[in-house]
Amino acid sequence: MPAELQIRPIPGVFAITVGAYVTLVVYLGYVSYKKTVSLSEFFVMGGTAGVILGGLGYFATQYSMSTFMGVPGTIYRVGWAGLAVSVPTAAFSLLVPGFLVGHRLLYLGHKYGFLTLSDYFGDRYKSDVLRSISAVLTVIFLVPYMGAQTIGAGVIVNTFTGAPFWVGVAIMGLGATLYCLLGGIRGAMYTNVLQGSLMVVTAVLTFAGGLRLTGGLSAANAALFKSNPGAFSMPGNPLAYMPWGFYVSQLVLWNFYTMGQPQLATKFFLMKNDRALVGAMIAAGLGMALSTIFIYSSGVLAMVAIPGIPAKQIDWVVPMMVSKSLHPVLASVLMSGLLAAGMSTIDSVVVVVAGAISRDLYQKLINRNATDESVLALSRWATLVVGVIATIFGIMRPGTIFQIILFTFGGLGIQAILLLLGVRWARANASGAVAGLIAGEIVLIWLTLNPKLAFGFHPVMPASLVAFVVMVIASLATAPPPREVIERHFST
Amino acid sequence: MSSERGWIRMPDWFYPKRVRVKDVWWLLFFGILYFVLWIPSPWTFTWKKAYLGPFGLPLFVIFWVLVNILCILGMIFYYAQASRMGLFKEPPELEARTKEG
Repeated sequence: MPAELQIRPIPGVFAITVGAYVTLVVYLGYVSYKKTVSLSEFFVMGGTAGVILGGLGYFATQYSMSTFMGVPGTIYRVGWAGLAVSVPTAAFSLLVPGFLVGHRLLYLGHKYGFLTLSDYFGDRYKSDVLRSISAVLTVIFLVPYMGAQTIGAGVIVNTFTGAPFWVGVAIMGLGATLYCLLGGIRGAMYTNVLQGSLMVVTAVLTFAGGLRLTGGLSAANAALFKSNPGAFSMPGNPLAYMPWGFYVSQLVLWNFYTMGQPQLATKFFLMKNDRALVGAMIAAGLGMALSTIFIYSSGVLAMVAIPGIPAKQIDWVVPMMVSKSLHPVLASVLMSGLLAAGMSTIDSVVVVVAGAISRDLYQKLINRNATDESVLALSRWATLVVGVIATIFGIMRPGTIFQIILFTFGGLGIQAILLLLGVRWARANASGAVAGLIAGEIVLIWLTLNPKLAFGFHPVMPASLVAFVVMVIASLATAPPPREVIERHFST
Repeated sequence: MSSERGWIRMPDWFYPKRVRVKDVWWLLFFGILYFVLWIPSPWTFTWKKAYLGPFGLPLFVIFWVLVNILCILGMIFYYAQASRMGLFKEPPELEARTKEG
């Protein structure tokens, strides 16, 4: 561990706390195992999630390691302007997708037994091609995403115990895989309630610790304004990147484009009814607003409390704050909160990727006669294999956490257009959806490689606009969807 | 587009075919909260100029927090209203399924 990190290693206390935490989540996975006897149970809990499971599950899945490590680190360089990442629209995170598509997905998911997002696409557009493309995109984009979550765990365990980086990666990657292997999405949702609560507590106490170190909010701001007035306006630090287009992208990215993320969109298939959906919007909004406001503000307080952290180590800001300001036992508990942020994302993702392989590619395309029992067994194997690959990916450490997450969010975000038009526009057809998706992905890759051409916006915004236009034109230029599709999806 | 009491009829190409007037008001409330953030101002997006408020916080941070509070309060009131009006009543397919679950 580099000496300049200003963190007290507490190997004994940390190992006991994290050990207890991992044991508890694996136990919850075992409890879920007893109830997970069907394919529907494994992937969507049989559609029985209420307000707390639905709301905290959504919140804990969306907010990841990046929320607690990558973004506060970025904010440490930028100042208050950096809160533009997520804070302004945090409470809208489930409201927007819930309002635009949530009610319909919940209803149709219950009625027709959809288990995955690709399942919905395949049925709505009556297209195996689209189902396959969506399933393959899910695998391609989400495996690196899972790997990115484990990177943070490697850093935390290394920092607090001195153990090699790969130990933390393995604890998180294989721990989450184990309880999902047992309990499927039910295991993930049960543990998400614990993890989501821990994340909120971590955010609030880290902020409180920051106030203690700086002498309060007013004192911290006065000191910061004296040394760095740029931290109080856009774009923040002179080196920061915050044109209006980037700001607006952040307002939209974490609520509208989440509709295209399979691990989040499938949450609507889990929810019991409309009451659970609206209640979950409130629970998720509260969790997300509290977490982001307090943990991101901690990044600003760290500018005063721990000045001079080298650029390469800014991802460590929150662990440093916690270590500096709180008792070692409490610090260890809060570090479990950071692990929870990553684990709660990996668990839902690993189940979704397993579903893309076993349900969408195997049962719906390769072997249509496969029984649900055999697919359930395959799903468990797929969960194991995907979890191991993601863990290896994390050990290889291919990039910083936030970069990987931004890339995957964009790649899957294009699917939000297919979902929105699929739910709201009966004329949308398979040709339009396939053309729109392909055009959107091509433009996304092109703009990611040539960011100047995106005029300050996140590449997914212009790319999804292209996907929308292409989809509308191609749908209108080709035959309308078959009558049976209209009746299935729009008659009630 | 024509209207009937308490409902607004939507274009034929759109789903659903009609929307409750009360829901349109809620849509406006949340829509204004969401899109007001897009307009550059000292309360949302400043450019290289600091506007400070209580505790030395930039005004945009205070406004962002306020928007979150209003959004959550709005959802709570919406939940209460929908519950009172019986809008959470489930269609038969869902009722059967929920009982099984």
